[in-house]
Amino acid sequence: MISVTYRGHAGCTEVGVVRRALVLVAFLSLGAAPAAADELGDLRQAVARLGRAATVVEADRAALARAYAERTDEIAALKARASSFGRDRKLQSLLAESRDMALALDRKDALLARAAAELMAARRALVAALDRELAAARGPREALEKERAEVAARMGEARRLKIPDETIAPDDDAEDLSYKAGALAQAEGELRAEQVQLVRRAAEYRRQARLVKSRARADEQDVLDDSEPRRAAPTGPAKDTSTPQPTTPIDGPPGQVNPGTERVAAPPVDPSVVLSDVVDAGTLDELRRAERTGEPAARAKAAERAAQALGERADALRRRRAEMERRARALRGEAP
Amino acid sequence: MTIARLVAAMALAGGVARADGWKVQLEAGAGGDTNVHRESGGSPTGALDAAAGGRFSASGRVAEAVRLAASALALGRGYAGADASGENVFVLAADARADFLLGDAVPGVRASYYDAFAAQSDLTSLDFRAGEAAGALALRDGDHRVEAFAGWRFYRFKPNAAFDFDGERAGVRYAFAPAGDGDAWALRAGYGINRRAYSAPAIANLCPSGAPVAPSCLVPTGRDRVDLFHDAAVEVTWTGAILASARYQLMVNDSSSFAQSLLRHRVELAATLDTWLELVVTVKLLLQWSRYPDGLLLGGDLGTFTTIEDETRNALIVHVTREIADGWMAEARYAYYASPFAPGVASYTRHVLYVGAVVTFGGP
Repeated sequence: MISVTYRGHAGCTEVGVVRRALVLVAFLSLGAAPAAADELGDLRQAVARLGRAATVVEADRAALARAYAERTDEIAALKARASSFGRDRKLQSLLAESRDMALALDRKDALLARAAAELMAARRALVAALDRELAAARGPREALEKERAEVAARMGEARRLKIPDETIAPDDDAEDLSYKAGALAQAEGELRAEQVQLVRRAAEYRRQARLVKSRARADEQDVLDDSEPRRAAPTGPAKDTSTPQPTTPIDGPPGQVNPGTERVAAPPVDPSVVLSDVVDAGTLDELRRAERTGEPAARAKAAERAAQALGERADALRRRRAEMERRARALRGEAP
Repeated sequence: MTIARLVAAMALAGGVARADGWKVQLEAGAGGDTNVHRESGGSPTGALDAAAGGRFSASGRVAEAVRLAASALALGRGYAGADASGENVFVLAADARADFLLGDAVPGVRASYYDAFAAQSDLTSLDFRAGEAAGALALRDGDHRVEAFAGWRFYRFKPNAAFDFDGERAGVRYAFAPAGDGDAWALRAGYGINRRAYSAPAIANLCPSGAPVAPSCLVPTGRDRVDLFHDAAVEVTWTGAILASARYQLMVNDSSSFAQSLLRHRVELAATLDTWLELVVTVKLLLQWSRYPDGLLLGGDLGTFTTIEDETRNALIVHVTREIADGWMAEARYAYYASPFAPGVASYTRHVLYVGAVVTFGGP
C-alpha cells in the first residue's frame, strides 16, 4: 500500500484518515462477501475521505503554483530593470526561492498523482460493490444506478473528451470564429487520436477472438477422437475371461464442459466514461457491457462501433470547423 | 432468502421470454487413420475416413430472471474398407441448463445426454449412452465464481450390461478471471466425485498376492461392483499475444472389483497462435500416466493374462484453422498418439489426419 505524506500544509491532518481509508478499501476489495449495506457505506465513506484529501492536495498545489507564477513574474520584472547591486541581490534571492518552489511543485505533482490514483482505486471498489448490490437488488434500482453512474463518470473525468462550442453566433466576429475553429481542430485531433486507439484495441480483441475461436474448434474436434486403445479386462466368472471385455471408460463422454469454463463478470473498467460526451448512449452501453463480459469478440465489436461513432463525430467537427473558417475569411473580406 | 428469491424468479418465469442468440454449425471433412481399431501391439489396420455433422446452440431469458441455454450435436464418422467399416460411429448429444438469476447466488438445473452408436457392436466398440441431471448453485464475488453441483449420472454400455452403472455425482468448480484491459488470464479448478453402482458382481482374485493372474483366479463375489470415481483438475489460461493453457488432471477410480482401480495423472499443454497467411495454429501436448494397483489385465491370452502396472500414453495434436469467408472456416488436424514406454503387448501408436470445413450460421 502507498502511504501519502503531506508536509507543511493543511493536508497533513488528512494523513491518518487517508491511511485508514486505504486500509479499508484494500480490505473490502479482498473480501468475499457480496455488497452488504455496511460494505457500501464504508466504501462511500472511504471515497469521500480520499476525495477530500485529494481536494486538499489539489488546492495546496494550486496555491503553490500561483505563488510560483508570482515569483517568476517578479523575476521577469527585475530582469527587465537595469542592473544594480540591490536589484542583483534581490534577483538572486528570488531565483533561489523560485528553484525551491519549483522542486516543491514537482513534489506536489507527484502527491497529487498518487492521491488521484488512490481515489480512482477506491471509486473502482465502490462501483464494483454497487454492481453486486444492483445484481442482487429486487426492489427499486434507480438510486443505485444513479450513484453508480455518478461515481463511474468521475472515474473517467480526467480523460473525458469534451467538445468545445460548435455554434456560430450571429455576433461572432472573425477573431471569435478563428478561436472556435482552433478549439474544434484540437478536439477533432483528440477524437481522431482516441479513434486510432479504439481501432487498435478492436484489432487486438479481434485477433484474440480468432485465437479463442480456433482453440474452441480444436477442442470440439476431440468429440469423435476416441483415442483410448481397445483392451480387455476381466469382469465375469472364470469361464468368461477368454472373451475380451472392455475397460469401463473413466472419462465419460468426451466434449464435457471443463470445470469452470464460464468467464466470470469483470469488474468495471468503464472506458465508456472517456467517450460519454462524444458518442451516443447505445454505443456507451455496448462498450460497458462488453467490458464486463470479458469476451474478446464482444469487446472487439463494441470497440469497433465506438471507433466508428468517434470517426463520424470527428467528421462532423471537421465540417463545422471548415464552415467557421469560411465565415471568418468572409468577415475579413478574404477570398473564400 | 435464496429460496424466496428462487420462488419469485419462478413466478416471474411465465413472463416475457427473449432469445439472446443462437448458432448452427455444419462441418464435414475427410482424412486417414493408421490404427482404426486402436489396437495395441501387432500390425494395426489403417483406413481412409470421412466425417460430417452439425451442432446447435441457443440461449435466452425468461422475464430477465431465468437464463436458459441448450446445445446439441449430431456427428458421424465412416471408414472405407470392410476391415474398418465396423468402426463407423454416430454420436448424438444434447444438454440444457436453466439458471435463476437472483444476484450473486445463482441456483440452476442442468441435464445432459450422450449417445454413441457403433456400426458393429461388440465389447471393444464405442457403443454406449450416458446421461446426467444435476442441481447447481453458483456464487459470484467480483472476479471469483464458485459453483457446487449434485445430481445423478447413468452409463449404459450397449454390448454388455455388466458395465452399466448409475450413481450420485457431486462436485465443485471454481473460476478466477481478473478483469483487465488487453491481455487476460484465468484460473479454473474443479473436483467431482461419482459413485458408480454396477449391475454386475464385483470380481475377486483368489490367487495369492504376487502370483500370475490366471482366468481361474477370478471369481464373482456376492456383492455388486461399486466404484468411487474422483476427478480433480486445475487449469491456467493466458490470452494475449498467444492463447496458452496448462491443465493438470488427477483421476482416481477406487473399485470394489479386482483390476478396475486406477490412478491417472494427465497434463495438457496447449498454445494457439497466429501464423502466416492468417493461419491459426493450436498445438496440444497430452501427457498421461496411469497406475493400476492390481495391474491392468490384457485379455485374449490362453491360460493367463499379461499384466501391466504403469502406463504412459501421450499425444501430440496440431490443429490449423483459417477463416476463408464470412462464416466459413477451413481446418486441418494431425494427431499422433503413442505409448512410448509400454511393453510390446501394450504398445500403441496411431496417426490421424483430417482436413475439412466448417460453416456457421448465427452466433455472435
